[in-house]
Amino acid sequence: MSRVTATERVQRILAVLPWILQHQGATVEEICRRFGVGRKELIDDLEFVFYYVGLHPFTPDMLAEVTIDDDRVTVHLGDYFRRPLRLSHQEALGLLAAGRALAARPGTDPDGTLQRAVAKLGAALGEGAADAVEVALGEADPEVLATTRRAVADRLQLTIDYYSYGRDEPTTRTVDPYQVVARQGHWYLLAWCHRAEGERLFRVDRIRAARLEHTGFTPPAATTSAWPDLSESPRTVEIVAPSSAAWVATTYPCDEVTELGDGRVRIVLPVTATPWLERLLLRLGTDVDATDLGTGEPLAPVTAAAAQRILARYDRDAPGPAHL
Amino acid sequence: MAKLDRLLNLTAALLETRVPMTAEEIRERVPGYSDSDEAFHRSFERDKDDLRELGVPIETVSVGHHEQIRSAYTIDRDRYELPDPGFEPDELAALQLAAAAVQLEGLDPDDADDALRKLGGLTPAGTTGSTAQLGEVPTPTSLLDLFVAILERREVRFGYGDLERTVQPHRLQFERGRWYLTGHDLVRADRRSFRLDRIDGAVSVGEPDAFEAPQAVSGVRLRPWELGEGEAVRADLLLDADIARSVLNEDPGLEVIERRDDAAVVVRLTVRNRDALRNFVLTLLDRAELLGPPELRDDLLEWLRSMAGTGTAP
Repeated sequence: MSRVTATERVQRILAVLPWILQHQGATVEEICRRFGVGRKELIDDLEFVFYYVGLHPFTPDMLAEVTIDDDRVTVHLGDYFRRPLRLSHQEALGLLAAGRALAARPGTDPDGTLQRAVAKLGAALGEGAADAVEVALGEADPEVLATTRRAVADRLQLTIDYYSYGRDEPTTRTVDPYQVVARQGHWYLLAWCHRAEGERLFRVDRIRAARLEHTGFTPPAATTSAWPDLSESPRTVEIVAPSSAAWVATTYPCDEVTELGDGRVRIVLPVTATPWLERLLLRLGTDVDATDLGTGEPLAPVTAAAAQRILARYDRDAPGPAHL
Repeated sequence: MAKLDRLLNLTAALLETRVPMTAEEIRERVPGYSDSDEAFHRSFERDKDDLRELGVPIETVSVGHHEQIRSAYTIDRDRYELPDPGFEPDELAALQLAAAAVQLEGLDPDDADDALRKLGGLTPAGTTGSTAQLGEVPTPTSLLDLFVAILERREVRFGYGDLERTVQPHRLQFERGRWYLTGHDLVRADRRSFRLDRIDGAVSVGEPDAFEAPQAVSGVRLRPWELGEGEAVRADLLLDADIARSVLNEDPGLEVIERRDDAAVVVRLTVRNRDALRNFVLTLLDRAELLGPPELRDDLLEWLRSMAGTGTAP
């Protein structure tokens, strides 16, 4: 048994007593289960309260009265411990944030029970508390998220229509879904992908549709890594741009950022997929020198090809006679 | 055991007393303190600290006549007692599941259990179902201070982008991986949102009840094209079926004005910042098309032509 300090025991007793006062006759077993204490610790606590807790002058009428009869607990004492102590700020923030993160989302709170709980918690914390914190673990289609979570829970294969942002490519794949997690503001599905024949991490908001299959699977005892490295062998790209492009360095992980002193900035960063690079270079505009540091080749042709591809689309759909 | 019964009886006595008690009165009425003056004062100070650490709101007031002012102590019941939230068992269980599934990095996970015990204990229903952790939310250093400031309606001051800001804080919001504070910026005299990771140094916090909480708080909006001083222009953007879903998932509030048979959609954007709009459209590559207005479409095409090396072509 781990050693418990006096303050930890005080904390426990101040939480347990008000509950017993409101639930006279509860069994020792239920109280133990509810408060996560062992039978011996609980009985020690109750005996302690019986012998020592009360008010000046500690005459019998000022002392607590505790009986344990047929395993049922009854406590009488003055009304000083009638309510538990308020939540500390850390406790309130942690619980409220967790509740707000999952409340009222069909994928995680199908019948709104948690939403009601969070509203009641907020009211108990004080006026406006419920609105003080808003947590979006990630936006995702509620149906897709619910289907994906069900597939994980029931260990059923899943077929997904997936848009790969990095490669700018829509695909349909069958996966063995291992885990759904939210990190850094997005929901991810960790799964074995039968198409790629490997573990992959999918952004749930990029799954257009998810269908449960009737085929089960056995998840491995441990996934190779919770965060598999999805990168193709990345290339290293150097960008020299006006210092107005410094947002790149605060938005993406960069290897090097150097102010060149002539109003320009040099940024070196790893790039895995070409479409991702295209998006970056298209936004930076023409006043930029970009080089693949691996091959030494300038990247202007990559930008030009992407711009031409987009322009081709506009030409095709162009309204009016200008392009006849 | 002397320590445990002192702490409990001190709490009971201070909750029960109508008049704040001086240290001497406490020594008489709470058993277990030493007869030596020095040892008494030392343990009494430590007991107060320990209880305050647990969150017991022991208040200190001055009593006596002006020739002999002494400190006296009491606990305000309203500040001590947790109002009964009136949870149904399934609601408490849902809260317990949520606390297991989502954690704030850096906060003690035991805090959640301590909080649940105060709220009525842990229930078996709250441990059934998947207890796998669903998400982890980062905890910037200023988060707790700002949370307390919102609850207690205290103004906050902090450095942000080379400027000192004074803000009436209204809401904290975790969105796309970052925490934001939304509030009333007293210098700008307007509602502003701030990224917590861009706050420089510590947040200093003012007096409680410094302002009235607003009736309705709208959070931060992450639509860079709406953030500008220019006149608003409506732009229509066609999203191909391949990406429409994921764009709308990221921002479910976008106004959809047309849904086509092939699952492509047209969204209408309110644009005040044209560069930001162009950047957004460019990240969609050739899976989207800016339909109008013509001036914005032409801006985009001109930009692309200069990039395509055809800017000067006939």
